Amino acid sequence: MPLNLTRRAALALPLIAALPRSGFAQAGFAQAGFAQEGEWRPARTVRMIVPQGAGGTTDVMARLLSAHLQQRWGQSVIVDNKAGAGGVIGTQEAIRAAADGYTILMGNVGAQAIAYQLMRSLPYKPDDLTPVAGMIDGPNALIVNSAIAANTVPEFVAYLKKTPNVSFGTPGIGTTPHLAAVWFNKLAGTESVALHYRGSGPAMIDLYAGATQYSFDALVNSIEAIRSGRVKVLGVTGTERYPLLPDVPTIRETMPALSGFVSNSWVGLFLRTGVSAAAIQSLHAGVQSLLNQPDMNARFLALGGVPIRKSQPEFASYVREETAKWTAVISSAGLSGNL
Amino acid sequence: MISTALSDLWFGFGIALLPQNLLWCFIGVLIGNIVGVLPGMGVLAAISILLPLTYSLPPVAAILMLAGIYYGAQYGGAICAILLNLPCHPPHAVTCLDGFPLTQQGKAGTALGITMLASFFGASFGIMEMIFFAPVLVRLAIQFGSTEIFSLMLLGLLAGSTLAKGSPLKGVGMTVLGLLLSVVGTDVTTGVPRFTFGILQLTDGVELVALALGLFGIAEFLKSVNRTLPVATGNATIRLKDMRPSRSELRQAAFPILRGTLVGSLCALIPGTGPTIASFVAYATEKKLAKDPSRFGRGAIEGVAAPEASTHSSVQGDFIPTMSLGIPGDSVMALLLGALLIQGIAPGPQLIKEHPDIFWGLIASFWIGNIMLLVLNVPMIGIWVKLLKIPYRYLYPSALFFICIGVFSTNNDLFQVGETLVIGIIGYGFVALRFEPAPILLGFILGSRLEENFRRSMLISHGDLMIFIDRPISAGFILLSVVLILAQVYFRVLRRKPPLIRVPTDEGAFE
Repeated sequence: MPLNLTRRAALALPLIAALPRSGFAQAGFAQAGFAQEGEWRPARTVRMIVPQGAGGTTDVMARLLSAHLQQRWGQSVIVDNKAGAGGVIGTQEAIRAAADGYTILMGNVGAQAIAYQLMRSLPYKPDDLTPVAGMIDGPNALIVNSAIAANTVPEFVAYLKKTPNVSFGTPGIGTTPHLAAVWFNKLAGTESVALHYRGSGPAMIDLYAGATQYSFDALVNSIEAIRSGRVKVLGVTGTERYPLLPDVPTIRETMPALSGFVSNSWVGLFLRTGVSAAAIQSLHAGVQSLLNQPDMNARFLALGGVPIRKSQPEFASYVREETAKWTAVISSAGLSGNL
Repeated sequence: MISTALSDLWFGFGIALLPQNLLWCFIGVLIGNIVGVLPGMGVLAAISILLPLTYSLPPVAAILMLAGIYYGAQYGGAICAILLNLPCHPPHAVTCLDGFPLTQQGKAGTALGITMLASFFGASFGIMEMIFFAPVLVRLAIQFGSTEIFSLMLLGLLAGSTLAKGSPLKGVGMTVLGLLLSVVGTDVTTGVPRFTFGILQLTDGVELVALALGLFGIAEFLKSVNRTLPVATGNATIRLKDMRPSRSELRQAAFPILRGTLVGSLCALIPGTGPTIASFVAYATEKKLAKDPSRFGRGAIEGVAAPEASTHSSVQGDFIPTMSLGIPGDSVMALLLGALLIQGIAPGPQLIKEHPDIFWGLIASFWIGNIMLLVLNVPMIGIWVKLLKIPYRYLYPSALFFICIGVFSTNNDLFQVGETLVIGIIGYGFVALRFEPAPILLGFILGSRLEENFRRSMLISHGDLMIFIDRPISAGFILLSVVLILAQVYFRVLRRKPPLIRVPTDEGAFE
């Protein structure tokens, strides 16, 4: 086995084997699918920058992938959380690194699609980064306070039209849940007030209490509140229904005016522009071998999304489309250069 | 309800006492304890570093260990605060106020002894709360929306503004400075960056850890930079009986511990408050209730007991909204939820029903972990106190080294290290001019929450201020605030005794 076990990993091996339910590690060792002969592989430690704090979806993705790449390459892959300024600080760090493939960026829709139009003075542009591979695509859910007399999206739009001063909570300005709500109102021809919170937790509490009436929230945060009946769910924002909520329609299938409405929070891998094609290919292959592991669909569903299985050019054009879509939404809502 | 809770707890102990879970719990509290002692080395950083290790663990063991790091760190955190005036973690900043003077008086052992006692009591209460009242408390927690939080923060600010010893005017001035500092960064309501001077790192505001370590740690270091003797010479030999608080000290600490615990358990329920605010509120409460408030800041045992008890009960209580609602109270809790998610477990209202092994196993492990921590720390007190025998010229540079690493680990960025240095130099200026740094922290912590929640409430009510009185919980806090102000004025006018500006005593700056 061409595997450079570190001393610590070697010590942990018998421990892992002894544990009854160590699903991830065992699956990892058995199915990591080691890099093929001739494929680009790093000769020293690789740094994976996460432009977000620990614990969020972007960070979880980075930690899943780094553990996987480490086994595949037999080389350390270190996750480096560089949070701040909505992902700009971490992205900047990735762009400043040498173009040798040893610094990779676990990016997301915020810093890699929305920021270009939203932020006033962004120190990078789309061309500075090469999209490598998608990781997870997580839809938001339209959830409403359970006292609201609307059980479908058309009923809810009618409710918005006849009720003044309806407000929605967001986990922060310029996040997908915020922009999804702005876009929804635009398409439906309705108006509501945005209330911004620090993260989705406090926003959820005001929604429970009825201080705000609705919100678009990532499924990872809201699915348990939905399942326990604390809030009503009217629709999901993906292109297709969410497998864990098969009875909940997508918003785009509910009304003709909303047929173009798709708003996902995605996470994907990026490299600074100028890295060799061999390194890009190797990384893409590494991501695919993680996504193709048998239990990954179920694992990702629990994390609130589905794996993005796209070729590198497909993912690059997906990022371009997303950037164009959010640019249009932000400029039509008058939010350009807001941050 | 109580009997089912007890049988569930019994089930939980069955899980927590499995040798493998016991081992991971011990590893967690041990790492936490070490991290707690190192200045600035955050729980968040420690947990995120160890997160990958938990992928290969079963979910119960993973969560037991990560939780152990969190509450274990709180035991360690008080040690540097008391011995070196270094708030290793923000919740322990208030412990410095009376803990360090106690050390200077040669009573470090007593202070640490009381701290351990208060910590264990606070934690035990927090756990009991989680076992018996979680469902009731969750119903209370979801009543705390923006309006209620604003009114609570207002009360906290009024109660805490007289936190520091010495001149009340200077205290209020420092509180206002803290409020102003909290304005720095991106405004949550409008997205406008304020006072960032184009520096990207400032768009998320001033770092709390940098502020706490700069104002206390670095300022203290600069103040004593030309001193060569050890901190306290009076306690060269510490025996176990010196650490045992005397009967009268225990009596003095008993009610503060109880009150601190209650404060902490309430703060835990309200999202966005948590241990740091809890410890400030507990300290302020004790000072308000004390017969002779002037003792505070000069080595009052209550000033150590109450905030420590409240920190620990708040830390344990923090798990209630996290585990039973899936709504994390702070970033550490968010990370723990992330760890569960990686294991394929969605935290939320269904967790207790669907994964009783995790919920009850965790609670049972809290007891076990806290007992381990007590056993681990009490014999260590003597060793910690011996730290003080190290001459300044070795002790403080090493502390400074750890401060740099710790602050760096908050965001893996050198910017925060520079930030700490600048704040430290300014903090030294304050110490030299006899301005107390603690109210800056209070203003800073409460400021952003006060502003944000006020503006959100205004948006909710469409500009109607009556919203703060229309809601019963909020109205209660507003009423308490009014009573507090009236009482202050009444006592001032009635007693006339304490002058408005006290003449500064000799202690403080350059001894």
